[in-house]
Amino acid sequence: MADRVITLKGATKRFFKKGKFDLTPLDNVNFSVKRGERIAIWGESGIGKTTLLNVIGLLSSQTSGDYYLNGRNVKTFSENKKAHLRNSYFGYIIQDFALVENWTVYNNLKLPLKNRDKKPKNSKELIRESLAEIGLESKIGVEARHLSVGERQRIAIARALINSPEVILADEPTASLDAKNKDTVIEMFDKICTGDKTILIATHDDEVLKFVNTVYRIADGKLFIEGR
Amino acid sequence: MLNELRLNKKVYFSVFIVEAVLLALFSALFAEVSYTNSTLSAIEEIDDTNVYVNFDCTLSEQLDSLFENDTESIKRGKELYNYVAKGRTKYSYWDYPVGTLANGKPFFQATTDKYFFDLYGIKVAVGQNLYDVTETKSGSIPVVVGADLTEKYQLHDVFEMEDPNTGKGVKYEVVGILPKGTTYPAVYNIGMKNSVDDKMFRPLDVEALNEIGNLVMSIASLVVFANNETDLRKIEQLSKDLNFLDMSFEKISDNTVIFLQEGKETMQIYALIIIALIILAVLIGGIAIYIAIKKKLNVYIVQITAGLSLKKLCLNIFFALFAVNVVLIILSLAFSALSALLSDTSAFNSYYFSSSTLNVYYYAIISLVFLFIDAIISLIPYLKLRNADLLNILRSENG
Repeated sequence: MADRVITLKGATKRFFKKGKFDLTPLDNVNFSVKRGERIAIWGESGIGKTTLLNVIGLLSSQTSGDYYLNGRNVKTFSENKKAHLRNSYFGYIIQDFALVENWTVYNNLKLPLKNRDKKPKNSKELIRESLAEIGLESKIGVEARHLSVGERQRIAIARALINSPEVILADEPTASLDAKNKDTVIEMFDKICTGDKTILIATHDDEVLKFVNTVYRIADGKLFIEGR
Repeated sequence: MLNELRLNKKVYFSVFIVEAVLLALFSALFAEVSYTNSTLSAIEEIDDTNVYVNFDCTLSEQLDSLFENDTESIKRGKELYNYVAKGRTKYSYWDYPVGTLANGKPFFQATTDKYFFDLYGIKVAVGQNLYDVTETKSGSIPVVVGADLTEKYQLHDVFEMEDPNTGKGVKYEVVGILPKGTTYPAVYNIGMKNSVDDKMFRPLDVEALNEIGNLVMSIASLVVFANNETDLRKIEQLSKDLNFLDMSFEKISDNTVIFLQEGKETMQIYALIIIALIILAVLIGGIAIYIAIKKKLNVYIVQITAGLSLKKLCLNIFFALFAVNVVLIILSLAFSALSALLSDTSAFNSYYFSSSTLNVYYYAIISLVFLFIDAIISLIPYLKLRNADLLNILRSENG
């Protein structure tokens, strides 16, 4: 249990529509992730992969069942604790990058730093270092909308990593990339995920599967192990 | 908070405009409510008692005759006055315009009894109350003056003025100054209040009754508090028998019941209008914030993924709205102070400071209303996002 970072026990997520349960993307899911694992959640679009990442990333709660993070039931966490974990424990890489388009690269990267419990004194330096690592230091004052697709995805990755999270949650990170950018992103993931860093990638891209050690398939709200 | 203001500049500007309109409407409503409330309280002051006011019907020929035979008339008048004064609660009040203020408006010299001051609780802000003075240092007639008259007369000033009743020059000494905004109910005009600001009061003393003009006015302007209507008819009859004035006492408390009812209904209407305005402001502000959240949903969700809690997001919106309120209230205060300065250069005179220019109650109430509106509006993101599938929304927003 100790090396299990994430454990879901009978987790179910249902959505209401007009007062009735309309959709059950997660149905009694049992799932666990060990520290340092690289996991892909594979499945078609709209099947529930993102919902699973929402629950794991503490962006929403399961309707029923339990979720243990490092052995502690998240039901016992306060909203502030969850926000703190979203800020420092998880790093999110979202499909279509989710950058704030009219903000500069600097402001986009500053966002996770601003919400830290202890705000770093050297934010600017941290941001510069982070951009230097992905070779985009010169873009610090450029608005996100003026960046190329590849640059945007690299910035999104840099933002997810700026607080050195232990778990990276990537939602369809390669969905809108061409083959060249896709390779760059997978290479970046490979470089990032060393040591104890855990990564969960929701994807329907076969290319990504080469990078992970375990593949889960999601269908009809159930999670099946597909291969290791 | 600053980021939130920057992010939704247009929205907060619209909220500012909506709240500015609300503030103006509230201001007008508050003035109406204060006025209605004040008139109601004016009536309530005299409503518990049976108040009879003399509506004098004396013909001018009769008055001429009284003035022609003044020695005889004074004798008869004093008999009547003493009869009324014996065992009855009453006061006389009359005034004459005696000059003009700097703003072109007239000011008045009023004569009244001690009971008038006691009944309406009129006390000086500075100096001595009129009936506390037995003798002035100068040997003049003591007067207390309303706040507007301080532009002409200061405390302890001794001045000569024509007695409007006799036409003779008389020396007066200012023994006290009344606080700005002091009023008393107008018994001849139910629901209205008269101001003391533009009046100087001289006492109605026995000396004054030795002059026929004063004696006629003190009887003609009688306000009598009585429980027995027959008693009033006796006064009327005695006046007739003495061939003095043609008096006719009318009970005013009957009219006050209707007026009070109407006043209370008006207050209920104002309360409904205020509630409607608050709902309207919540709706407009709420819709504006809702649209902003919908438009900037991706920004908010990105912030949430970066560690912003929903509570903090709501607080950011609340404080941004609060900042808008503070700016609005400061501007409104500055505007009020400026208009007070422009309309009256002596606005900072201590007698004036209690005026409605800087109405603490009004700003306290409007601040509470704004806080209430802010609290409701800032709950919208919580309601919108608490159970939302954030990453899916973000994906569709970006897509």
